[in-house]
Amino acid sequence: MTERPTSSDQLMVAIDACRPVGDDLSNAELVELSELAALVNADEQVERLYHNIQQWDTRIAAQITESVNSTSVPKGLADRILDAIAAHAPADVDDARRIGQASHGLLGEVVPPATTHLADVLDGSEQSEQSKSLVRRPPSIGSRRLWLGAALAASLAGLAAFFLFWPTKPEALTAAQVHQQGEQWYDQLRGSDPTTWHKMDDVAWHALKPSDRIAPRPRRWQWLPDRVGSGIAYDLTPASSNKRVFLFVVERSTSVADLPFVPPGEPNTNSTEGHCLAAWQSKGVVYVLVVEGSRRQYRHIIVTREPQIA
Amino acid sequence: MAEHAAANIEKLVADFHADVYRYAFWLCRSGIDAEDLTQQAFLQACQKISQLRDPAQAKSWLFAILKNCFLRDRARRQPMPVAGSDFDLEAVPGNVMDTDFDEGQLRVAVDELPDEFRIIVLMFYFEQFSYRDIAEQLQLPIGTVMSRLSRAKGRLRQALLPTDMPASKKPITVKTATASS
Repeated sequence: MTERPTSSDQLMVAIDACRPVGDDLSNAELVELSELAALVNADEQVERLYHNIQQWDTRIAAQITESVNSTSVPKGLADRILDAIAAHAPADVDDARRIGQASHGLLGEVVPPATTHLADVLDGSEQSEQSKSLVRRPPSIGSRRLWLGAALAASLAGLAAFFLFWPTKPEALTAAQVHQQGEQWYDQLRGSDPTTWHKMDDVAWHALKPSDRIAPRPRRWQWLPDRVGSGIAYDLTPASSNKRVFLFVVERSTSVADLPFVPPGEPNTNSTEGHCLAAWQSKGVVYVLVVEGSRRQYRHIIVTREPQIA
Repeated sequence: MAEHAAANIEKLVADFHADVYRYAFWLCRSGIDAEDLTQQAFLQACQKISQLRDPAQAKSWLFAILKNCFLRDRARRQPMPVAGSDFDLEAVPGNVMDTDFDEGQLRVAVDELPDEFRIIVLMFYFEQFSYRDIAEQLQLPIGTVMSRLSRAKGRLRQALLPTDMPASKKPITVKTATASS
C-alpha cells in the first residue's frame, strides 16, 4: 500500500460526489465514479471512508431537508406575490416587446410584441385613473385576477402572432430564409436559460423527432420559443465537448422550394462565425442543423448512408 | 383560456410559495432577500407558464427558476470569487454518527459557504440531484461541480466536526493500492 495524496484528493472528490440516496456507484451513467466503484470493492480503507462519508451525508441531508422544510414563511407572502405579478405585468410586457423587436420578434417565449398594453383591457375610467397616478396601488383581489388574466391573454395572443411569422405559403419561404431563421434560433439558444431545457424522458418531444440523418443522440430538448407545439430544438452537444450542436425541427405543411431533401454533404454556410449551418426537409418537417466548429465537425455529425428500413 | 391560466398561476402560488420561499431563504441567507427572490421566481414563472407541461413537475420547475434568478441576481451584485480550496481531507472522523451538531450550527455552516458552493450543496442534499444533473442545470462543467461540491462538503465538515477529536476517532488516512503498472 502506498500513500498517494494526489489520488486521495481525486478520490475524495469522487466520494463526495456520491449521493447518500440511491446507489450512484453502480449507476452506469455516472462514469466519473467508475474508478471509485472499483476501489471501494478492492480497498478496505477506501470502502470505510466511502461508508463514513455516506453516513455523514445521510445525516446532513436529513438535517438540511428538515431545516429547510421547517423554515417559517412570512404571513401574507402569497398575496404579496400575486400583487407583484399583477403590478409588474405591464412593465414586463413592455420589456419583452422591446427585446422581441430588437431580435426581429423571435422571442415569443416571454411576451410577444403584438400584445396590447394591459391598461388597454381596463375600462376607460380605470385606465385614465391609473395613468394619472404615479403611486402604485395594490390591486384588489378581483382586479388582480383581471390583471393576471389580461397578462396571460396578452402572452397567448402574442404566441399566436408569432406562429404567423413562419410563412405558410411555399413561395413565401426560401432556403435562405430558413438559414436566417436557423441563425436566429441558434443565437437565442446558445445563451439560453438552462431551465428551459427538458430531459429526453419527457415524452412531449416525440411529437417532432430528430432526423435519422444525424449521428449523435440528443441530450435534451425545448420548444422553439416562437414555435411552441410545432417546433423543437434539440441539444446534441456531446457531454465531453464544449462545441455545441443544435438541431431545430419544425413542422411545415408545404415544402420549401429550394431546400434539399437530405442533409447537404457540406454545410450551407461557411464557418467564419465559428459554426456551420445546414437545412433540409423531409415529410413535412424542416430540419436546421447548427454545428459549432469546422466543416469537418459538421461532416462527422451527418449520416450519409441511407437509413435502414425495418 | 387566459382566465384558466391566471387561475393556474394563483394555484401555483398558493401551492408552492412556501416551498419556494424556504428554498430561497436558504439560498439567500436573509428573509428580505428570500422574499424578493421568491417574487422574482413567480414573476418568471408567470411569463413562462406555457413551458410547464407536466403539473407534477411544477415544484422542481419553480425551484429551477428560483435558482436561475438567484444566480443572475448574484452575478449582478458581485463577481463570483475564485474558489480557493481549504478543506481538510483528513477531517473525516472514523464514526461520524458520534459527532454532535445542531440545526443552528448547520445553518451557520451552510450560510458561510460562498454562493456558488451553497447552491450546489442545497441541490445535492436538499433536492438530491446527482452531480451530473447539477452540472446540466447550472451549465457548469462536471469537473467544476464535483470539485465545488467536495470543497463545500469539506468546509461543512470542518465547521461541524469537533476539533478535539479523541484518538479512537482519529480520521482515516486515505491510502490506495499502487497501480500495477
